[in-house]
Amino acid sequence: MTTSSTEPTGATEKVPTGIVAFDELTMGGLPRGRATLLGGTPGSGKTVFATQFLAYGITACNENGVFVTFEEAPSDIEMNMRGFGWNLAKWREERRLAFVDVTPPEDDHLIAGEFDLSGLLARIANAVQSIKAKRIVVDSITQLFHHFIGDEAPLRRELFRVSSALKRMDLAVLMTAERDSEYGGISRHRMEEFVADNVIVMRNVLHDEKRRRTVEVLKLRGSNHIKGEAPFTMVSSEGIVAMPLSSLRLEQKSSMVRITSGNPELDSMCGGGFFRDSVTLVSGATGTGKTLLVTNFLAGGIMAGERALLLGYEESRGQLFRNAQGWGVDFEGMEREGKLQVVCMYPETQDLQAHLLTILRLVDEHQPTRIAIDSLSALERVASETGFREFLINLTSFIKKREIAGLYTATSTSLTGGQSVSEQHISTLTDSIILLRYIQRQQTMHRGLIVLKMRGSEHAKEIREFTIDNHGMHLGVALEGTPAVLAERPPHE
Amino acid sequence: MLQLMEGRRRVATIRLRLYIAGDTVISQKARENLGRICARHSFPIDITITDVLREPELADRARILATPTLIHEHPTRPKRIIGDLTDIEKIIEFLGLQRGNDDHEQY
Repeated sequence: MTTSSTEPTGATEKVPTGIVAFDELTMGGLPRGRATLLGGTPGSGKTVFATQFLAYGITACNENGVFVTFEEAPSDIEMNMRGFGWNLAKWREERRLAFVDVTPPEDDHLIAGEFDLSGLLARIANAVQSIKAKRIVVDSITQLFHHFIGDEAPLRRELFRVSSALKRMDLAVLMTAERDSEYGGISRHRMEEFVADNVIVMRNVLHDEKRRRTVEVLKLRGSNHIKGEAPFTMVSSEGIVAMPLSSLRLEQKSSMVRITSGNPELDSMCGGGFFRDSVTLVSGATGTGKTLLVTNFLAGGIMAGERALLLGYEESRGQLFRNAQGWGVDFEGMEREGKLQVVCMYPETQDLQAHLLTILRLVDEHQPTRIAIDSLSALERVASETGFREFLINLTSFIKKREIAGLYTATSTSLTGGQSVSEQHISTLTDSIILLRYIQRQQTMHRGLIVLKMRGSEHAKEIREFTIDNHGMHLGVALEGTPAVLAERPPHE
Repeated sequence: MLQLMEGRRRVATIRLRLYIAGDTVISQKARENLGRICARHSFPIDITITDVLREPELADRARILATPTLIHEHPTRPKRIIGDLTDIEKIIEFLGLQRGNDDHEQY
């Protein structure tokens, strides 16, 4: 039997950018031997993306890169990108990175007669050969049209020639181009039509005074890609960080293992406790006992030998610790033993994508089996509706994937009467919902708890009155008659 | 390279460098036109022709983007002309090489 060498499959080799979510959207990264156009409005992050593509090649793939700059001087780029942790100057000295500086000189200039871009091409070819580059960035080709104001036809022809030549050098080519609006044409001068096999768009949309950055693959010739915009955030010392969309796929296996809610009576209401990889929402007005349920949930886990993470967005560490103390729970001691980590932040300090990233980091560092977020309502303030929904989907999928038990709190104003959109998102995403409500009985005010939903399990349907003292929460008898039970606020207020 | 003219006034040689990419039709045209421009006046001119395909480092130093590019290497007011130098009159005026014009003088 003879063996013959197999023909190349014809599938394009993909070059990872290091931006995980993007590599997932494109199913591997940017195709080698192809030109990809990256369109974006000013400030959308094109240069950062492009630089990161080169930086990742240099640091992680042993692939050198050439940076062709039309707009910013190489020294400026080196300075601007330092903040993301990329030492371009060092790589340049090590001959892993080369710049081709085509920023316009100060000279007076005149255009007289026909020309081509062979000068540019010769310089690029020289740079590519001298450092054996595998990746190239051209930032931005729109500037070329500003250098030569006039007839666009020869420029288009020349750009096509340059782009074809770069592809023949077997480089992964990334060219940036400017856009005038977030949802208009792909690029000024419609460059995508003649230089690019692939088209990516980065957006920086301002909606309700909240920014939302996304990246989307519009076209990937001869290859599959995932549709839709992937949100991302810009992180200092790292660059662009985007959540992989895979986390959106609901592929989690459901665990049937029960864990304690930290309150035996509540466990029995839930048919034996929460599920190991479930996410529970506790919704109630201010002062109904949400933070107490959180405290019980964390303490219950730690008593059972688990590790827990608490993310507070409303109260300070001091306050949370004092609260816990008041209910007989020693957060300080738990932290000292390394069982608990409490992190408090103002929601306003960063955008939601960055918050998400912080949470993922903390989970990776601390490896908790329980996590509590107090409260989602505080986080909701800093994002657009879409941004918040994405955050929630990503967070929920992530913690389920890690088989972490999650507890979210939400300060509800109207969960039962006319839901707000975000509450709908929360309630469809979580496995269980517990409502805490004020109840009026004759002349006194009481608190009531109801398990509204418990996915995959029987649960008590009745409304239980409860009291809070220095040992925590005590569930009492089931209430009869419900008219005032679902009231949102103390009727006396 | 300096010549003395009219007593104490000195006129510097005009240094022109033409960047071309290989021996193409467009390169030929640029050379021919440059020859015509030089023939039109009496100033001393020093011409260097650089082929960017052979000496890309020189093209880097001059930040050449398009070819042909003609650079008037003036210490304070350098000028560049992009293209095959077809419009001779316009170029002579741009470079200040008209008869009797002393713009390019320097000390």
